[in-house]
Amino acid sequence: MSEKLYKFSWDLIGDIGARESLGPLVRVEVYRLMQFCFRDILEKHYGAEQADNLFRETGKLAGEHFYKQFLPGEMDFNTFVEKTQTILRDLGVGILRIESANLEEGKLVLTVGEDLDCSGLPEIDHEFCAYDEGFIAGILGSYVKREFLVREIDCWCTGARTCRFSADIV
Amino acid sequence: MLQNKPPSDSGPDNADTFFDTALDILGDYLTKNKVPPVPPDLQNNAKLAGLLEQIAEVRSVLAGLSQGNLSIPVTLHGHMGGLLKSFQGNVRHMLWMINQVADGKLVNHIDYMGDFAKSFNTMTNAIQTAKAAIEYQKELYAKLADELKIEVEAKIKAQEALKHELEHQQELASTDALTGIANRRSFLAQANLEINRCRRNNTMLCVSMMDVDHFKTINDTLGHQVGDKVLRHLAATITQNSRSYDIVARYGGDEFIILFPSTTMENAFSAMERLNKSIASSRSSCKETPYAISIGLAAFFPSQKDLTLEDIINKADKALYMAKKTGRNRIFVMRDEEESIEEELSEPANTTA
Repeated sequence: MSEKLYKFSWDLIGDIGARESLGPLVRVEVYRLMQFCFRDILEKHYGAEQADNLFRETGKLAGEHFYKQFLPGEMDFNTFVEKTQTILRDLGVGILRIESANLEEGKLVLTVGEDLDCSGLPEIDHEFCAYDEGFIAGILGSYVKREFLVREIDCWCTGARTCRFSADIV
Repeated sequence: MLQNKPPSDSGPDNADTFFDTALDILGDYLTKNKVPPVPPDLQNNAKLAGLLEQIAEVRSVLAGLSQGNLSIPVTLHGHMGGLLKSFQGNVRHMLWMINQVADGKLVNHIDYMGDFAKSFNTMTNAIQTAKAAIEYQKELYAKLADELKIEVEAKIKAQEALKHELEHQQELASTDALTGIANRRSFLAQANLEINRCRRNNTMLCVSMMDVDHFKTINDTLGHQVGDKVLRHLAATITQNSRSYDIVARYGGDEFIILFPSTTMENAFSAMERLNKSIASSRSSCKETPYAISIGLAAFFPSQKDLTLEDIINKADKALYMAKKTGRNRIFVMRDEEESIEEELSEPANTTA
């Protein structure tokens, strides 16, 4: 393996305000174009399973930085959920809903509707949202300060594909 | 198309019969309480069987939802399956939200499920409003309680000040300002109670009246300040030589009075002798204000039913008069139990004057 030259930090996202005419927004298809092409190439080089692992790991790193950037400070779980819901909605990532949560047992079931990665995709016969799994694990793990295992357990097409995830403290 | 083609020996009529039967079954699946059996001649049609299986799953999930059972798994793919899963998920989320409200957490609102969400949000808003009102009332009552406490403390303080002032006024009213001992009014009030007590207990009491010999001369020659000093000295000396339950008072001018409750004449006489000696002793050590006193002593016997305090004081006053008349600086005892007056003179106390 060649030497690692890059370590992500929020500063590297740069000054979005520099896009004076275009602003902070980009079309969803452009985002998906990049991610799905990445998936294509990663699967081509490393296979589907390893590509999922890379997406999951990437999502977790992104979730941890996302938490630091948008959800800092101590707060109770309900406030944390509300803030996370708000920021995910405001940024157009998806609509987070909690179906059940037992932090003492470290078990949650949640759904993400109108998901940035997969809403409106044609139905396929396997789970697709490895990046989201990592992203959710990164956010929850940063809040609880424990490692979470997040798995997509269901998805469905209702015109807007919604994903259900289970999250368990490892 | 339910099958690649209807049974091989069937003509157009048979095909119509097949479709009619299949449509009847589908209709039954949608409307009947129980899923009807598939006729044997249609059981080998895979597409029809698959479709019926999917409808049966929808029936099962809907039956579960109608009973509040959200856990029946939906394996159906596509739009219908998605709607069922969405409904299950939304209701589960709503239940979680309701539990959050039950735990007192009212910050979340629901933005889906139409009227359900509207009612839920109305409920949480109403609870928040009620909670805010309760908090406001709580703060208000706490503030009122604090104000009340301050007011009560102020009133208690004012009452205590009033009580002290009253006590002070009572003391002023019953105390002689110059000498600090009881005044005439206070003496009369206490003495009357004491006479009644002696009558009840059938015991005698004595009253002693005294004044300073040649007090006018002291005032005229040495000044009123010296005269006042003499009076204060005499009051202090009387007090020092009295028992705690004797009633000592300045009766007026240079006259002082003592009531000895439950005391025989002999004992009262002895007490007056001690007082006289004490005055004589202080006279020798206080050359600036030499003075002597005359004392009249009278007794009250319980048998004297009609005798009043005024009578007893008059008797003591007469005895004092006799002490003056017979030479001053002495004790004169008035014994008149049977209206006969006896005189008893003490030895004149030593004098340096």
